[in-house]
Amino acid sequence: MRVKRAIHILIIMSLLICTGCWDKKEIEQWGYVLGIAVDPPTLGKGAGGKEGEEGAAQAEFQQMDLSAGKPTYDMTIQIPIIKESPSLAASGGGGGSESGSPSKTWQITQTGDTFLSMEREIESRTSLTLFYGHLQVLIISDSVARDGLDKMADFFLRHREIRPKVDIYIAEGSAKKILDVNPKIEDHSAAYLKHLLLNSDRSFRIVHKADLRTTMNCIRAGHDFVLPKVEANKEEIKIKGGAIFKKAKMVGWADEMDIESINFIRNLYRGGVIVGDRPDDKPGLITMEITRSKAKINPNITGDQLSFDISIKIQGEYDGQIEFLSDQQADKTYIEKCEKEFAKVVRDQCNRTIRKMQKEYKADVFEFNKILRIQKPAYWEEIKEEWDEIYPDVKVNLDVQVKLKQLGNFK
Amino acid sequence: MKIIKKNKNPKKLEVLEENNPPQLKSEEKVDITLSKSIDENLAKFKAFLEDSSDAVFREFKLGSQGIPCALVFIDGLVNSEVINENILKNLMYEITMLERARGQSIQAENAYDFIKEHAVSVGEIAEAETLDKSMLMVMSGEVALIVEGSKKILIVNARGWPARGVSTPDTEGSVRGPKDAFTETLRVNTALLRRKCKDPNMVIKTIKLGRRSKTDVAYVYIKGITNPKLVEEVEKRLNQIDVDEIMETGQIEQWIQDSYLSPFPQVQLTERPDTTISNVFDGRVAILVDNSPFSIIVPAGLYQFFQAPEDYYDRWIIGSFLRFLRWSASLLAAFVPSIYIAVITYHPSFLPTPLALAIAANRVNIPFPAFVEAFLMEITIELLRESGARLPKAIGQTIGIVGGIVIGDAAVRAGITSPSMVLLVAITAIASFVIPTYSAGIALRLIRFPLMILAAVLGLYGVVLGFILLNIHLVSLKSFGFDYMTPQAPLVLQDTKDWILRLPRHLLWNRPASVNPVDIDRMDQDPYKENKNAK
Repeated sequence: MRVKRAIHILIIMSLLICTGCWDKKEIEQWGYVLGIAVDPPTLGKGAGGKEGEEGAAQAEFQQMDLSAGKPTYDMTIQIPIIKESPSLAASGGGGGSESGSPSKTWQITQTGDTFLSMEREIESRTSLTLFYGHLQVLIISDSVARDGLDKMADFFLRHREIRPKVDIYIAEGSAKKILDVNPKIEDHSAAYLKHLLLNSDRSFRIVHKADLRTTMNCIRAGHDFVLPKVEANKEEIKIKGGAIFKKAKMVGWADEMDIESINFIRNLYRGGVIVGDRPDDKPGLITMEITRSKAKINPNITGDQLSFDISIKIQGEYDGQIEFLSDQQADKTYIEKCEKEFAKVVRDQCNRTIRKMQKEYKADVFEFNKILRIQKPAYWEEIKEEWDEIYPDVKVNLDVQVKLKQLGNFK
Repeated sequence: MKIIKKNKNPKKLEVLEENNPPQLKSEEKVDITLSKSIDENLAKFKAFLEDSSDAVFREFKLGSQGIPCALVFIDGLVNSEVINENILKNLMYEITMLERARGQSIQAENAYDFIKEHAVSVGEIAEAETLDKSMLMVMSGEVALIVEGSKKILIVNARGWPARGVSTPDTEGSVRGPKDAFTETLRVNTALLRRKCKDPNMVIKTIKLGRRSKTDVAYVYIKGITNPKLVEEVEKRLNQIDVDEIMETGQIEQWIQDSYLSPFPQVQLTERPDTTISNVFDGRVAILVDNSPFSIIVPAGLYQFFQAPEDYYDRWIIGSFLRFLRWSASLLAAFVPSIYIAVITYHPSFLPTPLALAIAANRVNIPFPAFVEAFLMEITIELLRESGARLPKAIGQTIGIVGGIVIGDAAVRAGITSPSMVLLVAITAIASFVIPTYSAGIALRLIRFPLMILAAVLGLYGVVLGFILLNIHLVSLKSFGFDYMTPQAPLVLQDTKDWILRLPRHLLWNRPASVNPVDIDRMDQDPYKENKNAK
């Protein structure tokens, strides 16, 4: 009786186990997609980036047979070439003797109509199974972005492996060339790019946050937003300003000063520098490092007229770049003069950016609509349909106050 | 089942039976009752012992009347100095002086009583009226004194056999606290306990177990603390043991434990008298076995295996930290290999990207799946551990070096295993040795193998499944009717003070309620009360 029962239990237990192993795959058998670049489709041969015969062969691999429609995108994925770790190879004695620093990644470009079909088409070109759970960055060419982010973002949002923390970058021209960078320190350009954004607390010329989730929330809510713009040469990547998006469509570029102003006004400050002219009449530059910055935006409604009062309070440390100042020279009046000069610089810069955004791009990157919705909900309900027309002409009053708390570390 | 019972080599067995015809038991040759005649009595002893070379029969004549007497003892178990100085010298030499001084000679009728009262200068004596009792005494190392004309046999204690002295504990070392450990002699062990508790309520009861080995088994408890029902249960279970031989506490453990199917120890085994006595103070019962340097403590809960004596000797913060460390180490030892296998084979997105890439780079040239790799390494570690435990100390070092090189380096270089796996196996092995009780550590090391299989088959789901099954098993375990997983399941709040944390001494005013002692208070509930009033 007991034996029989034990056998029954064993059979039931084995049912549990028999279902197992179906998605078993060892960690080294996956191809970890670290970065994806999206470009407009390359049509015809010889457009794969390289010239000559090799380029033509590559371009041919890049094309796929389409059942319907015509190619809409180029999708380039970056997967790391996983080799035995260098320390092991060295101790084993059988390590590779390649000269120079060979590329540690493999960029595969595929032209196709939909992302899913392209993704599966690439599987026919790699021995590894692609895994998107470790995707770090998504780089989008500006011509794709101008066409609208929402069109292509659907795939990335629905993908069950891609996480919402993926960073999005906009490249001027080809996005693929950013992935092709062979960085000096990091192993992969994707990791390089991912870590670049962390420096936004040292320099506020870097766009603060640009992951998939925030961007998609902005698109869904119909907000305008800024994404970082990247440029690259062979070994280096630089975040240079940003791309302005109006309702999911890219409308233009913002330079680094614009990004500074946007970070000031949107209260995203994490660290940075202000440079101004020397307050006394001699030639020279003074500079300060910002330790705190606080922006307050208040919507004002007087009759029919809507205006915003923005007050920015900045604290920081003085850091001159002129001849040595004695204690007598660096007195209270001098400091006050400096503070005024810095305030003027910030005010001018912000005004320029506000004007640019309002008049040129008509993009509400300062999220005035959000502030209005929160602070004056009733008024917002009235005007929210016409907001796009109202926004370019809204009056913005800027008040900047700078306080120098320290004169730097004096040795 | 038939196949197993079938005799594979019947011929050989027949030969054996011819050569050794079934012998009569020694008892069957002789009448068990004693007689007045010394010759008959001696013959009865000899019937049993004549074949044994270590049995000594010393016959002599007593006093001026020349009353025949005899000593029977086992050479090697007795102290010959006691026999020479306190028995033979008195009986053969001093007694004639006594006769002369008294002016009368000893008659055969009162010789036995006279010897008992006047002649034998040994503290512990006893009388035996039957052969089996006196035989047992002789075999235990006492001296039997047979006197003509008496139906009783005088048993004189002259025990003295080669024994190991009290030394430091081998398996349960401690930095702080007493350094004595039990030895193989039961009497020494009980003495070690008595030295630590002078309360006359501490009872050390001894029974003899084993049909032939007749091993002394002592159980220790304190009247007025220990639950009488627990003592009753211990007595009942001990008396149920009916086997030929009892060699070790481990055998007792297997006879009295509740579930023989579990890998987890259901009694606590210790070689430290201080651990034993503090558990007895907690209301538990300790069982000691002659010839074994270990004591068993019942009932046992899982949490006891994570306690070391230092927890109580050190400051409570340090004690709590060590406790916490041990609990986490036990989780590490049991679950780390399986979680690793699950993540590596099923959930690569579980790891941070750099780590995933690093592990993948480590594993690129490994020909085995993670499970096989882990299994190989774990088995290697177990092999090393086992060989290290069995080898003489001098060779043990060699094994350490070979193991260090084989596991640490050569296996990696040969491409059999990845460095991350070596690290993992090493961590697991170290963690499993953190648990102070050897048998509990072994159990934890054992359960990681089924967990690894579950992880290899079902991924993290399998690990969780294994965790649940393990908990179901542990919760359903009992030790002498007490729940194994106390104080967490069922929750006994007042015992949690001395569980994963060891709270300050003055808060531990109660004995463990899960053991259900008669007297639960160790001290006043607020020992600082008096001081406060004085201020």
